[in-house]
Amino acid sequence: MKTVTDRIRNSVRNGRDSNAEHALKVLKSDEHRLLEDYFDFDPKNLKMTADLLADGNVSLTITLKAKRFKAVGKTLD
Amino acid sequence: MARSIVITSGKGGVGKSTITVALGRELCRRNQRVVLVDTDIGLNNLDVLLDMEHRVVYDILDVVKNRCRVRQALVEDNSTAGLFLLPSAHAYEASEISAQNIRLIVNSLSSSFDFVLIDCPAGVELGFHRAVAAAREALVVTTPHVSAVRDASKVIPILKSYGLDSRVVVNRSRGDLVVDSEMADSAGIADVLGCGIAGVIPEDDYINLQSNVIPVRRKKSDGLTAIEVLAQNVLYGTETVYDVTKRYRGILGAFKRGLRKLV
Repeated sequence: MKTVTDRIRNSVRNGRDSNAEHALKVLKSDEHRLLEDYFDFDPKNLKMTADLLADGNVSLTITLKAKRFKAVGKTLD
Repeated sequence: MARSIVITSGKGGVGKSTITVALGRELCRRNQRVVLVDTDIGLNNLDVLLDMEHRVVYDILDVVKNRCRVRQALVEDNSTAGLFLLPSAHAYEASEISAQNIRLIVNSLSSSFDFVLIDCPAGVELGFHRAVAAAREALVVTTPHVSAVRDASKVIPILKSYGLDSRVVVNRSRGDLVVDSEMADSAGIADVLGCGIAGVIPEDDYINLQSNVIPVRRKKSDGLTAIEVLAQNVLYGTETVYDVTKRYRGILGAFKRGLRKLV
């Protein structure tokens, strides 16, 4: 049977998860803004995952499937 | 040097200010020199709870603006000798006060007191950071309700990032509901929050009346005993938990629980 403490525990866990998801969304939108200066890509093809490792470090993986590499100014000419 | 403790919660209305005043008074009774700092700028409460709003001459903003010295702004409690308050500003001029200002004020008070209790505003906005930055320890007040515990769970990691040693105070706990498993007990809350318990305060009419500054004759109550235990835990670093369920266990307790549900 679900107790009051279980209800509180679930709510706290959900709160922490949604905090992490929100942080990831903000990071993804920042990353999108940065990458679109350099690449033509479909936003659906930008993927970002974060894993909390056992030692407390965070592993962040960004995957992008781009259509074209843009020339930025004249630096790439 | 004084111990600077911020009393915070995240959620509003859980009893931060009431506990700040009660804890301050109790520490004073134990021969500690205590100053309360109200950092809820524009929404000052501690002066009202201490029944001294008509005696406030200078406030924290006057200190920041160098219109007076910190000592001049302090107001002593009428009922507890040795308990002082640095009142919050009445006008809403929060942007005039920075975290550095509060830190300097707390540091200057540290040499004259044993405890600086900082009453933090609700929320995790600028006011919260301003109060927290000046403290070295934190008491996170929560009620046993899911929304308050969830907010406390969001505040505790922020306090950790400031390097504060945090402990939880569970306020307005009802022993009858805890026995019937209709309210979370303090051990469960501590487990969820991953924090030690500094105190458990039962729902108590006496504390409610006191916070409305109504003179009451009753000298001893469950709430006051729990505050004494809290003060002892704060003073000596112990984790004694006041048992809110003791009145509601056994045959007589079952009768009391039944009565409370009927009323």
